[in-house]
Amino acid sequence: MTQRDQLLGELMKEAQGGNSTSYETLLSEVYMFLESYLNSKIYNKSQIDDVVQEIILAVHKSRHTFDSTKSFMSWLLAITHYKISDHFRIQFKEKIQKLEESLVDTNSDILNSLVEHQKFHSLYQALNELDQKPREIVKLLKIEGLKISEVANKMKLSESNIKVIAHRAYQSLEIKLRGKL
Amino acid sequence: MKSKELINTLSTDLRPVKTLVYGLKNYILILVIGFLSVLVSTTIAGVRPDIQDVVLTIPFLFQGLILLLLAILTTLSALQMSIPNLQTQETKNIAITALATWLAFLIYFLLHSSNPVGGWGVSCAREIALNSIIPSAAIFFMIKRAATLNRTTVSWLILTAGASYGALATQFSCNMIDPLHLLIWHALPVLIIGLIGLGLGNLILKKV
Repeated sequence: MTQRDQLLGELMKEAQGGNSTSYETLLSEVYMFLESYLNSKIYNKSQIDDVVQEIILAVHKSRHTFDSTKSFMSWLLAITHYKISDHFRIQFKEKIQKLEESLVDTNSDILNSLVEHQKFHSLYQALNELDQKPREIVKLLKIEGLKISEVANKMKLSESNIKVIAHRAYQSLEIKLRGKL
Repeated sequence: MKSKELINTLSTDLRPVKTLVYGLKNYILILVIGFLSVLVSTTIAGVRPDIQDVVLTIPFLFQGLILLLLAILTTLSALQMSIPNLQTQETKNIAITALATWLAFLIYFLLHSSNPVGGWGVSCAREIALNSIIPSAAIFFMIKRAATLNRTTVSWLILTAGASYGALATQFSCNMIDPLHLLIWHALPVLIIGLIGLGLGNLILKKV
């Protein structure tokens, strides 16, 4: 046992008896030790303070198990090592969970685009199955976005005629798509 | 909360604590409770009629010795692992070796047995489970106040220790010496009780 170890052991013994000054000194020493110790163990520096707090809480909860005839540092290191591996275990679990969630998201994106693709393909097929005139009218109205008067001029038909043909074409498309979507 | 604030809070609210140090007295006490429970359950269940003929046979002695070793080692290991600076892997590893040796011993005898019949043994499994309650509870109550870091392992050790005492007691009352029977109705219950312990660890032992 080193001199420092003995000193920390003495402080813990006094803390077990209820001396809060000794306890504060001890925990401050423990804090400084842990900060530098964890620096070499945990690469994500933002997590060090959380782990230090976890260890300090564990020291507090298990202070009654410290035997003052034994080394304080070995007692502290046993707690520290367990808490570090616990931290990595939790981190690993979280990473796996995140990975699973992102896989689910990716899968649902793929699924959505597949459904969209399928819808588009069915619509394209149904449109191609129409006669030439109604197919042309639907394309001009819905794909090229022309007005009824413009389509009537282009097709050399009356506006009411265009409306009737377009209406019948929509009905026909609806029937064809009902079985496919 | 920052670490400095935590230290301040913990030291301000500090209360004196009664120290928990396991000494030889504790180890002996817990072993005595275990062996007393073996004695009581053997007395209640009754000793097998041919005990005088089998007690000095190698399979009976060897199995008894292994179970005795397993019970002692798992008990000691459970106590040791519940105190941070007493944690050693050696006792636990020897206990696991003892358990593996018992299984290997039974499998060896099973493979060299001319006519393994097995035999129905629900009563043996039930007896092991019942006989494991008192030793397991005694170890658990002794460990309850400690600071168990690895709760699942300690809980496995507690229940395996209890089941080992149970299996040791059952050995004196069970008439069957068939290896298949011993493997299914004596060893398997010990393993299953231990597995239950693995699952119970986080529930029965408080987190540090």
